[in-house]
Amino acid sequence: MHTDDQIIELFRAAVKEVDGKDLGAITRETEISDLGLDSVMTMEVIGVLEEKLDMRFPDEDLATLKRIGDLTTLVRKMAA
Amino acid sequence: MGSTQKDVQVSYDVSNDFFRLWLDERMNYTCGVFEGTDNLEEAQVKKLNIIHDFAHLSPDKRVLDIGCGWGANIEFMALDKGVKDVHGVTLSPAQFEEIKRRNIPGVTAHCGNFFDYEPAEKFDALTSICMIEHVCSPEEARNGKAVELYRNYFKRAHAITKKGAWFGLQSILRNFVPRSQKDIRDIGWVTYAIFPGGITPRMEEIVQAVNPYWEIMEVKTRREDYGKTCWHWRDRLRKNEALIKDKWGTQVFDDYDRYLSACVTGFEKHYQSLAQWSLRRID
Repeated sequence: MHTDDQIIELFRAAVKEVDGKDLGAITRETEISDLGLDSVMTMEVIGVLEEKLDMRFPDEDLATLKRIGDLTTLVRKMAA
Repeated sequence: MGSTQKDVQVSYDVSNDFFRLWLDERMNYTCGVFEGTDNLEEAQVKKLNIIHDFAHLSPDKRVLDIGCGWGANIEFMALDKGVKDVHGVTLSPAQFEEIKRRNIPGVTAHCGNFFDYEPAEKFDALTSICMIEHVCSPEEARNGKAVELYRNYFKRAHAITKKGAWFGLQSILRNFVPRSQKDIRDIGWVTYAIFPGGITPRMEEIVQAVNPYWEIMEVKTRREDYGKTCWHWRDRLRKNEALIKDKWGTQVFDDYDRYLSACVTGFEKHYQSLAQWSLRRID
């Protein structure tokens, strides 16, 4: 089971892989829409993250993600 | 609101002769059923038979085909199955011209919007093969309007049928959002450039929307069949590359090659699927 910090680090690495940029400080409270990713990039980042975690998120859960904390909660729910 | 007539003309009015080059001889522009065959012509007839059976048709029935395209299904029902009272409605003027050209005995067709179509008499049965994709636009789906719009479609279908009616429906399904940039962009491009104004429904949206008008009696998904259908279409398109480029230009060939390739990928990777539905009217 990944901790929130580990999931955030994997997310950071996924953004680096897709967009080439290093994110500044991000926490569970960070809004995903504030990270400067367009909708296509966001789905690409999700795809990379799914690969790293070896899991596939249901589309309807992705539609509800607003903050990084929503993502870590989803990952932990999927792994449970 | 979905696709307007202007939108539909982008999708279907390139040229009847263009589509004739790469569709089957009846001009079905929908998924065939490759059960026991690798032949596109046979696969399309198998599909038409399934929809015929799902609508519980017999020669004495009065039937409407909603979104009848170039007339493949109405011609099949009238000539192959002997249904005596067959009607079709299409929003595409080019498709309507092709139906008139075929001059099929026992068939009438109307060019206009299904939602405005007022039949002289109610129907015993309905068929609709991949028209529901034009009922809701991507913007409307994003705004949460999809179920309401599909329900309005099923309500209208209910209003123009008699008690005891059956409905043979076929629809593409939107399944899984692509994760790769190329696939996202290709699927998005097909949605906006080839089929403007429309979007494929999700299965759960249809399951919700049929209520309280129609009961789902049978459903069969055919994702792999549609992938194979698109492969055949692209194969025929490519075999006619020189002629298509000469008559309609390089851009038309390139666009349709990209679109059909995106569809082959889309069905292979579960982005899209297809369902055939047998619905019984709730009286």
